[in-house]
Amino acid sequence: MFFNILSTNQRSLRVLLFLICSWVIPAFAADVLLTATRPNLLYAIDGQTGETLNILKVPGQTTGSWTLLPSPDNRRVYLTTDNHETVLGLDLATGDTVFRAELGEGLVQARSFYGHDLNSDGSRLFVQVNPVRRLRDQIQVLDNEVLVFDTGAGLNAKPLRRFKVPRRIQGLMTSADDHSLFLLGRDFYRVDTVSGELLETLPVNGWQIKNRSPADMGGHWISFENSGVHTQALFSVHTDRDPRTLEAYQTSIAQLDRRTGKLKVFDFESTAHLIFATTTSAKRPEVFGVYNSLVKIDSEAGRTLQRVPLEATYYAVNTSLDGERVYIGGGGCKVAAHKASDLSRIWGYELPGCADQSFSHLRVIRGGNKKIVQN
Amino acid sequence: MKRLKPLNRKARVMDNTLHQKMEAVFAMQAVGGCTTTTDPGWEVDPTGGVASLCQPMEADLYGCADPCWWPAQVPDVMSSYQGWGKGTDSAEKGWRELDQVYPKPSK
Repeated sequence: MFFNILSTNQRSLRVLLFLICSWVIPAFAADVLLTATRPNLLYAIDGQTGETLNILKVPGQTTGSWTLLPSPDNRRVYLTTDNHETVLGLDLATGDTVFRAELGEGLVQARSFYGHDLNSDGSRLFVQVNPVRRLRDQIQVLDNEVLVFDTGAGLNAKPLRRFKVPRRIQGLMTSADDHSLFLLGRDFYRVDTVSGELLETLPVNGWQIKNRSPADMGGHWISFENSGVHTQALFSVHTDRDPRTLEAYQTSIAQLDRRTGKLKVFDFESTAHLIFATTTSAKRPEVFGVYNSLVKIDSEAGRTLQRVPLEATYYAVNTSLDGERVYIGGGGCKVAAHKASDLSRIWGYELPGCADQSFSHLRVIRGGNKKIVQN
Repeated sequence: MKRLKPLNRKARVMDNTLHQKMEAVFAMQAVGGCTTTTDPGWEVDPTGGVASLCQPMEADLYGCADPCWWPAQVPDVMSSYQGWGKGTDSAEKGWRELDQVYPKPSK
């Protein structure tokens, strides 16, 4: 009704304003990096300058957090504590704990190392757990599960439902339409988010390529929040080539698109360099990988574009919202930003006390404030 | 042995073991949590060299201890030695403070 009484010019103006808000404001929104360190700190870092914006204490933690999962509105971050037996949701502005779920119950001890994701509106939290039943004389290994929580359930959240999943799952990714949940492990699986029914298996380790070994992988670090693509480095052997030559060893990339569910795998170089983590650019057909060097890969041509050595090992990699910068972190105590165009360093930052990030993920969110929170 | 019957649960487990009726042994997750990885560790990289080891090695110390990645090389912080490294948040700066660990004597 309201639009009906507007003139054509007024409607055009509103459309124009909408477009400006949709395109221009996000383009100028600052990146905020999230990383965690020992013993219990979560850092929010300005992606432009490397300055610390916020430092939050994670209750109950002693060895740092690993999977950092920002909510779609960037107001919360979900992470594990209590030796990975509890999932917390922290308010990023205040540091308050607004969600808490203990993963085990009674004799069942359950830990979640990685494998967390939210649906598109942030109302459902999926957590992959590895449970065991601790008896007096034995520990029974139970089936791996995904637990589904209501993120509005507060500080004593119980799972709404649970379903069994294959073992060796390292990450979770919800599909863009929320109907499916991708289980990211040695192979990728697509299951129904409600029933847990296995809908599709996307072979990775179990690929069938002539004269090629099964693919090996690490794949602990998740960074698909801006690109919508889970990216995984794969290592395999050409069994028909001389094993004494470098050409026998192949590095490949797997990309799983959360919007289409399509898996793309391509080879790009011989394995002269290890890669721990990879990420797909939010804007360009490029993949970035990190370990002792930072590498840029053309995902369309399947070739290495550039590699620069790093002064130390970095575990995790991510890109800026505009695709212009590459962020690296994890492992030791350093975080750095590089230009995506030529991989030159923009800034490098040593976290206070040089506290180790260990297995922490490096996540990139939009916005943030300049207030240092003492929670 | 044929005439002996197990009376309690532990005896039944032993009996099943003898007659190979044990359930399959499941590895935990292959990654994270006392991994069964056979990747080369801190001594050599997958090529038999050292260029692909973490640099410096301290950058990888907690990355291996926290997830129990190589429990033979560094203490398993996840389960057995949770206090190892407490108070030393920087492996690079404080590696001298990180001591060896020894199994606790059984009581």
